[in-house]
Formats: sequence, C-alpha cells, structure tokens
Amino acid sequence: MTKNVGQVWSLIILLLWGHFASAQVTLAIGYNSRFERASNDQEFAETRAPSFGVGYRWNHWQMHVEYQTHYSEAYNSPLGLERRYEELVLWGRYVPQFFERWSPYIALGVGAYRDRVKALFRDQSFSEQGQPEWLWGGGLGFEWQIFNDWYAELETRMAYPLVERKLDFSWGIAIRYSL
Amino acid sequence: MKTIIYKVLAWGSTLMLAFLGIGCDSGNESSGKIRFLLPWSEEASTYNLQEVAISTLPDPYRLKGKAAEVYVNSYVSRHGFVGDVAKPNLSKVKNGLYIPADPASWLAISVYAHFERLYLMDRRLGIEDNLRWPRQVGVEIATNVADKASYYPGADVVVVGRRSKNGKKLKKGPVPVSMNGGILAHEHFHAHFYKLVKKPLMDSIPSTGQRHSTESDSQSSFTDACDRYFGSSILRYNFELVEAWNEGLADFWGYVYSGNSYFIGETLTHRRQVRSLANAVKPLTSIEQLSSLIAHGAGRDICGRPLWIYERGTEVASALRAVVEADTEKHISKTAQREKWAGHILSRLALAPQILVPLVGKEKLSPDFIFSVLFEDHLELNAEQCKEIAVAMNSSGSSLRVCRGVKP
Repeated sequence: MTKNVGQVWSLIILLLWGHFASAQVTLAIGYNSRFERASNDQEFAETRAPSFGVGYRWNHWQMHVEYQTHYSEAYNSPLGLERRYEELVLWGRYVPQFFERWSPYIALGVGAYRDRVKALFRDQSFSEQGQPEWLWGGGLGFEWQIFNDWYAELETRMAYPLVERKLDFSWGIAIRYSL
Repeated sequence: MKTIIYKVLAWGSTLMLAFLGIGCDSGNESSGKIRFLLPWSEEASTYNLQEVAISTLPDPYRLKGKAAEVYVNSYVSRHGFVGDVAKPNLSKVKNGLYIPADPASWLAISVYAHFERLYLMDRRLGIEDNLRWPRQVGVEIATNVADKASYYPGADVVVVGRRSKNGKKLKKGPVPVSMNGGILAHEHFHAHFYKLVKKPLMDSIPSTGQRHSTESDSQSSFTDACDRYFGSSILRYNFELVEAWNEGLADFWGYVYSGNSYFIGETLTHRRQVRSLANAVKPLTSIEQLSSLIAHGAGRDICGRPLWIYERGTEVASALRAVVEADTEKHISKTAQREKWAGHILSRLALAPQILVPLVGKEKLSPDFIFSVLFEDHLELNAEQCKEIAVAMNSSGSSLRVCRGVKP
C-alpha cells in the first residue's frame, strides 16, 4: 500500500502542476477500436467503445486522463463469457506543431485496467470484479485544429499490460475542446 | 472559476486511481497453487463451475509447466506444435482466483488442469518415465473434424479440434472435449499404448501408421496402413484387433481418471449408451464376427474409421470396469482402487509385445485374448471378477488359468 500512496502523490503533483503552469483544461470524447491479443499470441479480438478524457494543454505539451470501457460477449453453449473491460490511463503528449493547424504527436501513458468477467456454464454463472493491473502505453497520432478551441485527433496506440506481458493495439478518433 | 476546475480535475482523477488500489493483493500464488474457475467434475459428479487449483504452473499467463505445454490454434509439425505456448487472457478477482476472459483461454486452462492430474496419476502409478514430459497438447486446432481429440504418435502430441461454433446462450449442451477429463485421459493413454505396444508391434512389421483418434480419423491411419500392407491377411486382422484393444483400454483409462462410466457421453451425447462402460458385460465379438466386420468394412464413421473398433473396445473396457468394481479390497478409496488396477494393466502391457509379436503373423487372435495378456499368471482374481471375465470370454469358450479353481 505504501507504493500506492507514492503513486497517488506523484499523480497529484503532476495534475496540480497544470494549475501552476496556467495550462488550458481540455475535455475530449472519442471512439476507439481495441485489438486484444488472443491466447495464441497471434490473432486479435476487436472491441469498439467510446472514450472520455480530461486534462491540460500548455505549449507543446498535453496531459490527460482517459477512460475507456469495452464490452464483449462470447457464447457457445454450454459456455458463455461476458466481459466488461475498463481502462484508465494518464497520457502525456508532445505536439511539435510543425504546421499551423495540424501536427503529428507522440504519446506515452501509464494507467490501469480491470475486467469484470461473467462466466456461464450451463445454468451456472459466476461474476466478480477483477483486480486492477498496471499497463504502459505508447501512441502516435495527428491533431487537427478545426476551430479556435476545437481539435480532431486520429491516434494509434499500443498497450502493454504488465502482468500479462503482451502487446495489445488500438486506434481511435477523438474531438478535444480546450476551455 | 478555472482554479476550481483544476482542483476538481486533480482531486477527481487522483481519487479514481486511489480507488483502483492497484497492486494490493498478491492472491495465493505464494502457496505455489494457482486457482482457476473451470467447469469441473470429481468422481463422476455433474460438471459444474469450480475453483480448480493448479500446482505445476509457474505463471498463469503462460501455459507451460511440468505437466503440459498447451497451444491454441496452432499447427502440428513433426516435432510438435508450431509457435509459442498459449498466453491466456485472465481476470484476477479479489481472492486470487483467475477467471478466463475468452473461450479459448478457458479451454486451454482446462486442458492444462487435466494434464496436471494425469501427470500426477502417472507419477503415482510409477509410469511417468514412459513418456516425454511436459506433454504437448493443442486446443482449437484446425482439423478435418471439429470437437474431436486425437493422439498423433509421430509428433507425440494430443490434438483437440476446434469447437463447432453455435453462438448460442443455452443452459445445456455437451461438455467440450477440452474440458472432458475422461476423453483427455483416453487420448493420453494412447501415448502409453503406442510406446509400450503399438510401436514395438509396428517395428516388427512394415507399416506406416501415424495417427490415432477418439472416434474419427481422416488421414493416413493405422488401419489404412494395414489395408495397404496386409490386405485381408491375418496381420491385417490382428492389427485391427489391436486397435480395438487400444480403444478399449483407453476408455478404461478415461474411466480410471474420471471415475465416470459415461465420460464419453458427456461430450458425444449421441454415443452415450453405446460407449458407456456401465453396460453389462457381454461376450466379446468372436473371431468370425470380427473377420466379417473387417471384410465388409461395416459401420464406418464420417471419416472412414470403423465404429466397430470403438464399440468392440468399449466391450473390453466394460469388462475391465466390472473387474475393478468387483474388487473387494477394503480401506481403499474408489480412486485408489481404480488406479491399482490401472497400474497392474499397464505393467502387463509392457510385456505384451513379447506375447504378441510371435503370434500376430501366425493366427487370428481372439478378441478376448486381451484378458490373457492382462491377467494370466499375474493377478489373483476373486470369484466375482472371474465371473465377469468368464462372461466376456464366453464366445471363445476359453478361460483364464488364474480363474480355474476359483469358487464362487
């Protein structure tokens, strides 16, 4: 638990830094397609879901917390699995602003994910909230300034869950508004 | 206003991560056992969701341990499966229990759990050195027939075909092959039989047999090889008979492991009665009947493998089950009782090539000759056991020497 307190304080410092840096607050909504690596380590299972983010923007830098939740179900009687996947990641971005209205960017993230799986077998079922686990992420994207404070984004990402030790991929689009 | 928003964002986000409480629980892996939620059956009970502990798997996210290497949706080469071992998707809940997060992961973990039990059973019986460990097992493999398990002697692997997808959320349905411990034990036994009996026999004659399955086969099989090499000769007859014995003993092994006389019917529901080991012992097929079946190629399944091989095998297995059930030794659990007889039978099979090699080319063996191989001059059988064997041997009119003089 001591480790967690340190992590939480680190996050507090990062987020409050935005305040002292007089950054702009940003709100984002997006739509993501997540490709999770299958158990044979070669194929991928795709799920799609919206995402929501809040954060800061200052100069070439952005930092935001993003939440995604994906739902999937697979039935093949007498087996069934219903799964709710949640992900909360703190992303940091560097946007070089090569051009006036659009720019590529790179992103690094750290966060957590958890599942709630409902396992079904014949007339039995079992469901319990899974424990959160850490993940690292990296991404590349493009940002396009639509209006003054409105931005559109297209991004591709990879995520590395630390306990599972395999790379998953996703891509998404988002609209970001700077307050 | 902005300051308020910043503070709300900062503390809101912080509280969300604090709520997640990452890394607080290490589960019970320190005890050396990892627990999974699986459909499971103990001693012929109905399959239901249970917590199943696995002790030989160092990492729940890599299905490779002392007992088995499990592969998903892979391919078989001469040396085994191609690619990396299965990396299941899992959800770990608060008490350290792992719940598979996709169907293939569920099947793969079930296979590992059963092969761990088979590994431990082989160790108890002192026969683990017969085979190479960890065993290689593939699930969700693209084969010509779905929902089937096969042993591939060339690569020394067990292959479970891809499940037929019905996409239905039903509260009923057969147990998938990968979750049926009896069927996995059946296939596991084929590896023992191949090593102890079939390979020595095949080495004694020209043959190219390569594969063996639970109830279907479509490629070059042992029987096809016999067709090619022996036509309808005595050798051909005897090798078909050995295949039936192989199937019967494998059924018996499935029963020993699962304690369930109907283990095949849990998955192959349409074969529940005909493949039941609980059927009353009846006289085994005679030499004449078997010759006729072989000559007419009767009752082949959709892949060309004769169904009679399995059915004649089940006759042998029913008799062996009856012998176990008639064991009157006290102060011994049902599992230990079954395993005691399994150990006896496997030790006798190790001697089978010495008995069979001189005979297979000379005369058509009687189907009930297997009882002579397994029991003659070796075990003491009680009156009830002798009675059951006598029923099975009735068609040939022969009897076991060990039973002569045993009074009911």
